[in-house]
Amino acid sequence: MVSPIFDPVVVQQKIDALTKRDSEFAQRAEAIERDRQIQKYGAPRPYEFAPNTSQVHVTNWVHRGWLRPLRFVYRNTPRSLRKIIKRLWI
Amino acid sequence: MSKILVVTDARQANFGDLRASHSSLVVSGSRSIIWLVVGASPEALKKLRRRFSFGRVQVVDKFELIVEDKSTDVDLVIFLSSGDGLQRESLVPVTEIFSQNLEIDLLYGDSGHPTHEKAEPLIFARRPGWSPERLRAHCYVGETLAVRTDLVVRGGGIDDLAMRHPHDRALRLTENAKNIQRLAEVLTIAKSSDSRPSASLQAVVDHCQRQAIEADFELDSSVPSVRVKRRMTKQPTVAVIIATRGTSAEVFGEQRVLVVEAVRSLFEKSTYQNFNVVIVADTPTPKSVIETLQQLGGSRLQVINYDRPFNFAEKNNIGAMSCESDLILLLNDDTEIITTDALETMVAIFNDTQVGVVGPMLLFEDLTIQSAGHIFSPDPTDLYRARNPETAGPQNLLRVQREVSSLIGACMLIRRDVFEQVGGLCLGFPGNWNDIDFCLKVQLAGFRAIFTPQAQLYHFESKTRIAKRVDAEVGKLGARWGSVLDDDPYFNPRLQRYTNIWKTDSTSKQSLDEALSF
Repeated sequence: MVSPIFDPVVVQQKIDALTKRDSEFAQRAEAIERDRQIQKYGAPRPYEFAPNTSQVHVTNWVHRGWLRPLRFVYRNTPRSLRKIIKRLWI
Repeated sequence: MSKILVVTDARQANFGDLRASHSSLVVSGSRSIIWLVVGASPEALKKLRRRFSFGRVQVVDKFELIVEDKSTDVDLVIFLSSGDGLQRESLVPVTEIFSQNLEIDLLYGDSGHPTHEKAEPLIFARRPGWSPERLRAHCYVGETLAVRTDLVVRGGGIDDLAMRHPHDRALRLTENAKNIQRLAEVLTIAKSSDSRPSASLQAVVDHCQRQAIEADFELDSSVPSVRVKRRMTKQPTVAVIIATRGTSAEVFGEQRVLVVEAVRSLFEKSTYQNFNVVIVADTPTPKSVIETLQQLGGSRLQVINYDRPFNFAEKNNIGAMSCESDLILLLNDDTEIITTDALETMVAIFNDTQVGVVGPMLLFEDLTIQSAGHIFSPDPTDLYRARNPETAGPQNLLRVQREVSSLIGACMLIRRDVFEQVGGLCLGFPGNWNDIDFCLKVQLAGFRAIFTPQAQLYHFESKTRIAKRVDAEVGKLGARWGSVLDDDPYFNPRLQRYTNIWKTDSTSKQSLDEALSF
């Protein structure tokens, strides 16, 4: 069963030990993160959440303007011909 | 890399299925594929061998033929279900990964599934990173696996594995694998429009026998998934730490003192009673509340007075260090038990010695989800917050026990030795994100964090509460865990960011291959 220990001195000693362990883990994690940043950016930099790029650029390259006439031609070619084009493409 | 062996179980396949798979192999990005079609009819084999393949795909029906051919050197085996196709050029990154990292012996990836809708011809099953707990529930890794040949031999051999249920095959292979990786790219275009993972009860039963996991099993065929209920081999002691200031609030239409109801539900509803409660009460906590709590808990409840400025992390650390137990349950005062065996369910998970922390599903007062584990997208978010818990979620995500990067601190069951080993909650995060930092420390120490939907509690937090984001705390969390925040291993980089749901970021990240694939 749980047996509470209420001696504040003992509790404080345990808290201090926890804080020490926490800082050791923090140092380990920070070292790993620093290495990653150096590898990625060349130097450590302050962390910020990455900007939200989800669904910002909703056009992928097949929808670019210069492809519109080509897409039009492709879609209006006979199905059999489209199949051949696709097969050749891949 | 030398030749790639693709293995397909063709016993139930028609020629159309095999033709579709064959077409995909031709353009899969490798010029030297041996396709082992197990159990195909001689006529189908003859037709397949005649198919135009630029000599890239050699069709065989017996593995012995490959072994006898001394010139053949197979390093990589890919299990592909009949009718499914490999995504165009998908073998290029696969072979690169295997040749660059010799430690990886199993790889799985995302898959596309036809919708039969012209506007959106495919939906994608975006898979999380390696999650052994989840694999016991269902075959979330999909049916296409790329495996090193020596692992196939250790897993039972090609002939044996080819004929097995995909879930069984995945379990057998992963049991023997040393390094399992997820490729966040589409590997397979499946024949089936059902993107939900399959599950085999017998496969899980056999797996647990092989792994000496004592458990009872239940197949939820509606999802489908297997629930592995680990048997309680012992009754570890639990210290429930509740930090409070005796606040009252309106819940279910009546005013109540939150901490009193939280403690009452523990003593009256929980079927697991090997626990004691430690209340860490702020000095302003009303005396009447303390007295009611002491009446409720008797000798099993102790109250510690906390007279310092508010620091949630410190309050919990003090509570945890003021008692002795095998496990520590950090519990918010605005919670209440729903499933009576919630504690038992969570405690039993610790039979797995690699588990460091376990969290339940928390629900709001109106029975919508408060937290089903965190995702980092990249800001830490409660997955499926304010959604219906009856929803199974994509790939039945919300119905299965699984690994997560982080759990909400409102209810976390922790192994005491792990709590002490990682230094408890960090005092540098007095209000926010101490739970996230803690869970990530636990994983850095080599333990796993598990979310279980089978244990459910109320968390009467305001639905509209948005945690105040302090730049200094973002900086501090990022300085420690930036890489995990940017790429949560149990999330998928192809999913939408800054949302609490699992949704493919379809338009912005769609590649040419995805746009044009068959």
